[in-house]
Amino acid sequence: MKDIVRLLVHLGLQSLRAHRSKTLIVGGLMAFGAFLVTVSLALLDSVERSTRSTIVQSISGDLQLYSATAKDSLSLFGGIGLGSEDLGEVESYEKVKSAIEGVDNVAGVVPVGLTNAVVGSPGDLDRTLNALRTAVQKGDQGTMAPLVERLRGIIAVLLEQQKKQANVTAEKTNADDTATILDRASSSTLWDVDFKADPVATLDWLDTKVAPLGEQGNQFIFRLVGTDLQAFSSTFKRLKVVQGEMVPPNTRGLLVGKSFLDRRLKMAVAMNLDTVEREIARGQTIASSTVLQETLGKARRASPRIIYLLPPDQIGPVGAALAKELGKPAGTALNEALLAEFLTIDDATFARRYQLFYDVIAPHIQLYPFQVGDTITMSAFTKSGYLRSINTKVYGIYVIDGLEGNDLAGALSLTDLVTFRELYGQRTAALDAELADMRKATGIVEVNRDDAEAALFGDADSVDVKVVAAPVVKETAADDIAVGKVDRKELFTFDQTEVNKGMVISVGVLMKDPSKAKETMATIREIAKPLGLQVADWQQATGIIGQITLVVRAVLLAAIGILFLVTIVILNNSLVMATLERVSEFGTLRAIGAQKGFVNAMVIFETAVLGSMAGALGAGVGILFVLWLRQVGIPAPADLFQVIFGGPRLYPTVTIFNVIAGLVATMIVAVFATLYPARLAVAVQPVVAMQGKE
Amino acid sequence: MTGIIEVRGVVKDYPLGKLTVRALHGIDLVIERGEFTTIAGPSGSGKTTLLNLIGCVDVPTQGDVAFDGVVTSTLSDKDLTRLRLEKLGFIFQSFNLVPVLTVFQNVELPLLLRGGIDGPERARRVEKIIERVGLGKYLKHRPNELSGGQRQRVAIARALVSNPKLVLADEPTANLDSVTGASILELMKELNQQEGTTFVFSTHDQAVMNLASRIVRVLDGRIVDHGEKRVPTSTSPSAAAAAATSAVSAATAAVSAAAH
Repeated sequence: MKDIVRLLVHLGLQSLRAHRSKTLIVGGLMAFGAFLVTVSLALLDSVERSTRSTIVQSISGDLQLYSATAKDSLSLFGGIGLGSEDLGEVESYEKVKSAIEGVDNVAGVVPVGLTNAVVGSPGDLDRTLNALRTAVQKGDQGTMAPLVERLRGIIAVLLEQQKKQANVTAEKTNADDTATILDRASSSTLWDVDFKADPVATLDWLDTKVAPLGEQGNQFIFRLVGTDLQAFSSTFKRLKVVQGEMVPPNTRGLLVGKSFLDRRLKMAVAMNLDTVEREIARGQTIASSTVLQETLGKARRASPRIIYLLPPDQIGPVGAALAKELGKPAGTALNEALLAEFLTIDDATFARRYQLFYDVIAPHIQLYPFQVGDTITMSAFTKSGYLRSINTKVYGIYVIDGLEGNDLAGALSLTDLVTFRELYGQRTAALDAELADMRKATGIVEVNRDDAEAALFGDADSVDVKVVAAPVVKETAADDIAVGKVDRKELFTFDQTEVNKGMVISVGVLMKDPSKAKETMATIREIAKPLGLQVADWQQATGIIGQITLVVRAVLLAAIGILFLVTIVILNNSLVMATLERVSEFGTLRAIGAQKGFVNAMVIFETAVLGSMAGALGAGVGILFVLWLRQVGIPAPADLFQVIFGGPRLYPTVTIFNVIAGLVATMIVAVFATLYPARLAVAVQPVVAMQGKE
Repeated sequence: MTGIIEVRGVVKDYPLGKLTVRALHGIDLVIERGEFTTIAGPSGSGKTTLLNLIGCVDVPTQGDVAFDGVVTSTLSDKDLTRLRLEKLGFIFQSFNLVPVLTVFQNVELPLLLRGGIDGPERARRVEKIIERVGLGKYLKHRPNELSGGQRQRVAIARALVSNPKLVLADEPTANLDSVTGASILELMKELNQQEGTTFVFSTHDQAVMNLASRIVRVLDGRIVDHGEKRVPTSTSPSAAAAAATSAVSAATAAVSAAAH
């Protein structure tokens, strides 16, 4: 037997040498196949590993446990709708935590509350009017003057825009009304006479007549994750607070993602210029990209705001700087036209204008709707249908280490569980007491929403209704506290241990060793079942983002599959040709007493020998290729890729399993491609040896 | 004593497109052990078909071919193959050596396929037979490094290495010049006389017929002359005498000279 095998190997090797061109084609194809499988599996594994490290280790954990009765599936980054998801509730985080904390391979457990909140940013006109009203109330002449200046600036811009619109609108009456109002608002009579005589009445008029003409202000939707921030940051170590500070323990507060801030909330001119700058750094040019041209267009359209966002004493210097840049006379005033011209940018001027914007304009205007340390108002529709608004202090801005410039990495805003629960609609004892006080004070009767209609319009005698339906419950404002209505400490701090006993939406679990994920998941699933919870792995829990790797894997494997099918066909063809050329050889062997099995083995052995050598060569080159990629890194072509690449570049690794897979795949292809030619060879009758002509 | 080959009432049909061509029309033939028999006939007469049946590479459509008492048509492909391996040797018109194997490996092939013979014993037998056909110096050569005559000697060695009962040679001299052909024939004749191996040829080479102990003539699928045992008429008495003393060495020398 040993001798036969040696003979087969010998015959195989020698035949390969004898049919060099066939060997080169077939071997080359198989080497390429092995190379491809090794490299693509190495890349896939690396991508999955880095996606895991970005998403899993920064936000989602390996597993998320949530209610088994949830109607929607958990999606940390939010579904398509707004606040419509029904994820059920985990009654007590503490209970789940203690149940799974002891499981082997569990590195950390964090509570997760999910909700969407709306943060309103008032329009510039509203903001200025409000500030002016406060100044008037306080009688603070010092702050009043610049505010009046700014207000007049805004109104001037509105007037200018109105004139343009009047030219194109058909609704003359309406336009005339608006013109009359704005004319009065910008007149010196109003400011020098009326305002001085009766500032409050003038402000009321401005509020009712002019304010509605201003821009609406923006509303931003925050995807909020309520959690135990201390546990969260010690579990997810890639989270770094880059500005401000971590929310202190047992304290309410908010952390906002830097990329969310920079790419969603930033002032439009700056945001669009940033986008162009990023794309240019990536190798785009304004000349060749209509998208960039449009982005610059947006920056231009948003630019008039700069005029009134600037403090009055800066308008002169900024105008002068821009005029100098554009080669205009020194006295040119800062107006819409000048800004538009300044923002008419091509590839040659971009770098300088961008620099100039950040050197001259940006330092004097507010680029973000809020700053670290500000208290912002978040509103959300609670489960019970109330619109709930809460004031929360923005403690800091965070980034995910290595993914600083990525949209998704900062998409979630992090807050404490108490704030989350209030926005979500969870009642607290303090809140209930506060509501009861308010009801007593205002005489509100609580009316079930279902009965609201009857209460409102139906049997007049049944209920005594003063205020109905969904009252807006404003979180304690500063003056309430000053008056001493509520205990300040209780509102802004809490006991984390107590809070952890309450409800959350899901529980995140981070593992120590991801390679044991399947086993750990099975164990946790067993624990979760009696608690009424289901378990989602991170790919499911992160929705579309987690599935990208699955999709990429499926597509790549399908591509490899197709390539292998093609390879099998080509190999088969070439081997059939080779077999037909050797009919007389096989016939002779059969005639002198070789069994069919021997001939079969001979053909298969030949391809197997070739397959193993070509496979080894291909896989070897594949290893070198991946090692080279590891040195240089593969740049992420788009933002989304940064998430799955784990940063701006992917540094892939190759494992022994990738290589084995490459070799095995090649051998399988080799054997499959040989089945038919081997059958042909076996079918050769010994009698053909007698007819053989040299 | 029965013959080593007994052919009884054999008919052989071949499909040719939609037609069936009858190559043999009822053949009866007995070949005794130790014969040096030639089957002669023009092309298309059916002599190769008959040889295939005798060589167990094919089975008849009707009638029986019995090899050493075993009827071939009753055997499976596997058993037929084993029969060929153990009891038959083949010499082909175009030599049919495995091109990628050396002289030694080509001759060793039947022993390897048969199995059960250890390496040293195999080597001894292979080297002995190669020596016997006069190619002792060419053990490591590949077929394409040898002349036609040398290749046919390798084929003879391969056919004889497993001590077959019958050696079939299909036009063994057709691809050789007359001098080389003669020396090959001398070699086979000598092996026939010294080892008692039965030889059956198909040929239309007069030189082969002259050396045969019996000539069976085939025409149009029928045996027209069963041929009686006869004393071979060698090409010339002197040559035969010379051959009787040192045929092998002379032939080897001639072939070697031709090769160089």
